[in-house]
Amino acid sequence: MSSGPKAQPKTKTIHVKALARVEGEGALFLKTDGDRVVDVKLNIYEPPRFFEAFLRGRSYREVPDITARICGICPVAYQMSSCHALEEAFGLEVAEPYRALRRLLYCGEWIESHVLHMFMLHLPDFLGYDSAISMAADHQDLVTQALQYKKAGNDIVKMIGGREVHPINVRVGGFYRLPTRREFAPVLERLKRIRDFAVEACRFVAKLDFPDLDVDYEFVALRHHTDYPFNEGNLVSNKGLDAPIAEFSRHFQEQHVEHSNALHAVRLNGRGDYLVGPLARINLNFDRLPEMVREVAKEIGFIVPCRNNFMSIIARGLESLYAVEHAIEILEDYEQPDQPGLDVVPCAGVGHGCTEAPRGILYHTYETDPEGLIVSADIVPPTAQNQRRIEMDLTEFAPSLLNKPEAEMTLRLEQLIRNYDPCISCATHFLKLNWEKTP
Amino acid sequence: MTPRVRIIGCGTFGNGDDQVGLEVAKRIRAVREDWDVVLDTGGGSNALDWAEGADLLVLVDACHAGNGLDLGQMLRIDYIRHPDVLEQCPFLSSHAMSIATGLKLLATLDRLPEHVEVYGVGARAFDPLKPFSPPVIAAVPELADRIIENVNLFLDSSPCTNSA
Repeated sequence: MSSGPKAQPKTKTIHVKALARVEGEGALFLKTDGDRVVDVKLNIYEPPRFFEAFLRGRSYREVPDITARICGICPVAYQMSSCHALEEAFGLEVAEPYRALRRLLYCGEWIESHVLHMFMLHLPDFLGYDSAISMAADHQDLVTQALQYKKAGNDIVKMIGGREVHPINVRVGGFYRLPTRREFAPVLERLKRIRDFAVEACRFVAKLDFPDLDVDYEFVALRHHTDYPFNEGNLVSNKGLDAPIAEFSRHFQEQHVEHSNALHAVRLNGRGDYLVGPLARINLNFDRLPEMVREVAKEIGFIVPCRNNFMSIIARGLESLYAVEHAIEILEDYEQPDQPGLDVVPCAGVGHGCTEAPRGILYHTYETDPEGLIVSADIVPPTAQNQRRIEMDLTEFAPSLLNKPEAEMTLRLEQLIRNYDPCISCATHFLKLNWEKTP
Repeated sequence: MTPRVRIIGCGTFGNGDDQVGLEVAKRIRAVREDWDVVLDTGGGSNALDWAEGADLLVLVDACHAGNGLDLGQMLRIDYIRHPDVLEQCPFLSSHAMSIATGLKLLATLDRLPEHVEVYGVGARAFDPLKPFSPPVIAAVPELADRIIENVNLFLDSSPCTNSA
């Protein structure tokens, strides 16, 4: 970290060179003038551009496995969005029992991703530790149970996806192989063992000390007519959006910005930034949660709409609890289907898929030729959609920190970025943050 | 009492040399079907499972070649005696939590096995869907043999065992 002259600064630029506990690599530049933030640039490096080009000319069969490689923490989301898009292109509807099994797989990913972020990446901020390891020294039972909680998610993904990271058992039309009820039994047992802790985790995070933040976000998420959204639904917002996912490009657009390799997604017609992810999802779909989860939310005092994104950790806790309950429900009713998936007849077409990755909506669209080879692909990941909103949050939140010591200000800004659980890439954990101060 | 040995091959299938820990573990399992050998793609967040009931924990993962470590060459670290060495090693982590973090968590939670050995294999190609570097894949059988040999030495040096 570097700072300007030691005289009372008027203008500042912060350069924090390593923000840990985010997924991927990038840099943040923040410049302030007096009590105003005059410049914020979140510079990140996203791989999906490469993957879109890489997909051209490949068979539809390869797409779920190739796109899963985009991210090590949310590969299921990429598989689900790609499968749904290609199934639409081929006019194939995948209903029960495969629909429930896809939701089960997503439950595993949400548990894995949310619990990792809540306890290993985000919680140390709130409790005043520099890492999960230093936090573990004082909270051994909590961290031990959190690891077991995450493992319950790993087990689901491993059992139905074939392995914990970059699962290989998903295909257009369903799965390659489905486990027997007996094979699922240990997964179900672990989920039942973790159930009480899933509730306790919600109670624990609800008691944290949350910085003040009240932002009039445009929340965007999927909304399904009966279920809490994973794989289906319309695109909705709290500001009037209600559109089928096929109209994604009529409402959202990716734009190049000079300071980042990643594209910024914005709402069209001058609507600008918006927020996707657990806070948006729960605000827009609270009534789709089962009563048990809503009761826990009520008990811990979580009220929607919630406009403080620091409380996204509570949303993650409640969504994780939902995932545990929903997975148990699916597994208790599970009967192995006769076939692991539907037959697929490829054709020329265009399809759209949008599903709820842990960090928010993940949109895919593909054009295929008559043999099912990919003619074109477009992928809009959630972090690209939140990128501008992160910069806006920093702009709005930073002035309240200007009288704080630089180290504390930096920590709070990093914490704010971690509210979004940004999945910058799955390869390394590194974000450079720069704060420039000019007298 | 028979010491319990667990061998964990870490990595990401399909990501070039990042698979080497998995390949070595597969090779060990093929040679010693009676041993507890796990192919782990979940990274350090599975550390509690790694340690559960193990007296000797063996981890194999890719690490960046360089600084004297050639492609396919293996570095052996006695983690209990030299935990800091692991932090200085440029281990690749395309996992959500690295094995170094997983081991540090185990230490913090007082759950480290009595013996922990980490084998880092010099590697270079980590991108998704990339093939192995030829020297890395060529080294797999020898690396597996050396680990088997080292585990056997450990078992032989313990009072009453010859199995993992």
